[in-house]
Amino acid sequence: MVSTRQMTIGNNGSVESNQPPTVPTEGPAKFTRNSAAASTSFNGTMQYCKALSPSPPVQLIYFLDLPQEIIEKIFSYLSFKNICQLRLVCRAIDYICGQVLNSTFLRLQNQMLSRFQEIKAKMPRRESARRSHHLACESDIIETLHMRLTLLQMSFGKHIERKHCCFFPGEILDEVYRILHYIKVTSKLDLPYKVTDELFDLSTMAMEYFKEKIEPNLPEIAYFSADFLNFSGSFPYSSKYLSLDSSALSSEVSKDSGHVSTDELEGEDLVETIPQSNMVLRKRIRKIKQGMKRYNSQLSLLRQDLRSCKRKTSDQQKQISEQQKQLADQQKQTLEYATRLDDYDKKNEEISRKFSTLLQELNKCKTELQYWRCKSPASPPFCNNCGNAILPQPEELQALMNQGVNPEGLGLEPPPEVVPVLGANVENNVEEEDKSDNNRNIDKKPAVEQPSTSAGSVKNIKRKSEEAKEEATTKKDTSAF
Amino acid sequence: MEMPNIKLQSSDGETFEVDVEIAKCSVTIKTMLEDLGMDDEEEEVVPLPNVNSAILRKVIQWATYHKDDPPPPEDDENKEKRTDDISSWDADFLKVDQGTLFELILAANYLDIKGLLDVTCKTVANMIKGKAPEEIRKTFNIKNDFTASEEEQVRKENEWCEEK
Repeated sequence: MVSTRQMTIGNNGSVESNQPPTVPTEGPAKFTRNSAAASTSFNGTMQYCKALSPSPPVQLIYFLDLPQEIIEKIFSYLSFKNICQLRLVCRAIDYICGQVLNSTFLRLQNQMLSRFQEIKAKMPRRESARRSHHLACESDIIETLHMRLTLLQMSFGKHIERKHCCFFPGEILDEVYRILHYIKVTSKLDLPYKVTDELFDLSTMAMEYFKEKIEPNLPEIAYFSADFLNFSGSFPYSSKYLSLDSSALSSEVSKDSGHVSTDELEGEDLVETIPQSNMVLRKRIRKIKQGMKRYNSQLSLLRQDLRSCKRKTSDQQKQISEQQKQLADQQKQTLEYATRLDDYDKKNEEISRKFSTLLQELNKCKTELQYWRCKSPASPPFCNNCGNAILPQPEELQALMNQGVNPEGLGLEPPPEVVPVLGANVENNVEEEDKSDNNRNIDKKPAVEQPSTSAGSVKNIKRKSEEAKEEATTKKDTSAF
Repeated sequence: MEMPNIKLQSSDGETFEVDVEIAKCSVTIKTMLEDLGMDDEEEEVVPLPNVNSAILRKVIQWATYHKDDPPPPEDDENKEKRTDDISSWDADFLKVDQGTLFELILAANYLDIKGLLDVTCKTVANMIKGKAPEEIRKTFNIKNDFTASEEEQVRKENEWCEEK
């Protein structure tokens, strides 16, 4: 048989057989490959073929020459488990199988999502009414399918999208199709958890295996790059499930008592799944958190500093205001003092004026006294000429007493009847002088002149120096003031 | 009764005169006839440059046998994957060498004959089913072009459910 075909090749282009090869140039190159394949497994077929019709001279088309869509169609008749095994044949087939698996996985997700929404819309919203609804079982099954696929997507999705791996657990796809077929052909569905039991185990197993054995060897995904954000955006339902905690999930999903155990498992699984698949993300988050903590502590320190600074400034402002108050008080006081000083100045002026008037008076008195001395020939108490004591005239003594001079001190005998009156008069006179009434002084002048002259004469007699006596009396007077 | 005929010309120049109804198994030919409004009397030749005479003959043979079949059902995504529903006539008809089988597939694809494409693909699928990778390589004369690490990776991925 082989030799016949070789002959045909040898006469390429000739019309030895009725059907010359369509593309003769490819003939020889592919012949060796074909002969091997033909001799191993297709001997019988070839012979049959030859007998049926004039055989084509050489195999021109090989399996891998078929367009991908046809290979995919061929594979569509195979189970996904089988497709997974086929991946080991060669790179090209691995590539095609991977695409088939991924696209089927994606298609099933979308299909289950729309079906889930569809059936949910048909179901009553109240839980109790849902349980008795005729679609309850189907709804449960579809919900579980949808959730399992979503969970798988959370594990595999990002790596599949980056072409790091394909959706290798093909059996899961088979199981999903089996369940869908079962729903389709079974008129009365019952015990939904039993229907999805196998899928449950398979998906859990696949996710565990992926996380433990496969994912660590895959290239790490940069989570905060733009495409990650896009990715999470392109998968709207992941966020919904990420936000659910296990208890909320189980309460939401559980429909009857028989279902509860399954749902609890599911919840646990969710909790396990999310952190593991987001290990890197969590690491980053931890780092960011640490950074934030650091910044926060720095910030709080700064705040404390700021607070103490504020406190200090407020204290200082208080002090300043107090000091200003004090300053104002002191200014008031100084003003007061100034006014007082002014008052004192005025008083002083007045007093000095009084002194000056007094001095003038005294001068006048002096001149008068001198005048009087000159006038009277017998100068008391001793006569200049004879040296006898001169007794003052009674009216002169009276005048002296009026002036406040004690005639006794002068050695003169006051008139006995006048003496008691004299003390009172003296006191009165002192008071009157204190009031420093000039007019009165002037009025008294004539009365004063006489005694003062007499007193002055007494002094003169004692010390024998008029001028010195005058000075002393003035001094005495001033000190009396 | 007079059946309107149509002439189909293979890539290598051979002409086949076929009943129009049989030729219309091919959606490609059917569309062509409808779009171009080909006149039956003119007996124009439809060139099929992608199909050689050997394959065209077989295609006509298949179409003639199945001319009264109901139109095949549309592809359902969730259909059961059955490959054991090939009729015995088809099975006999497809007992050809691999090259012919693949060429038939290409022709069925080009001519858009769904029934033929389905049955040929099923036949190939049956050739694959239940075979280990090495056997498949032998069957289809495929070289294992994996590197050791690549092969190990795929093998590891396939081990995910082995411990159950």
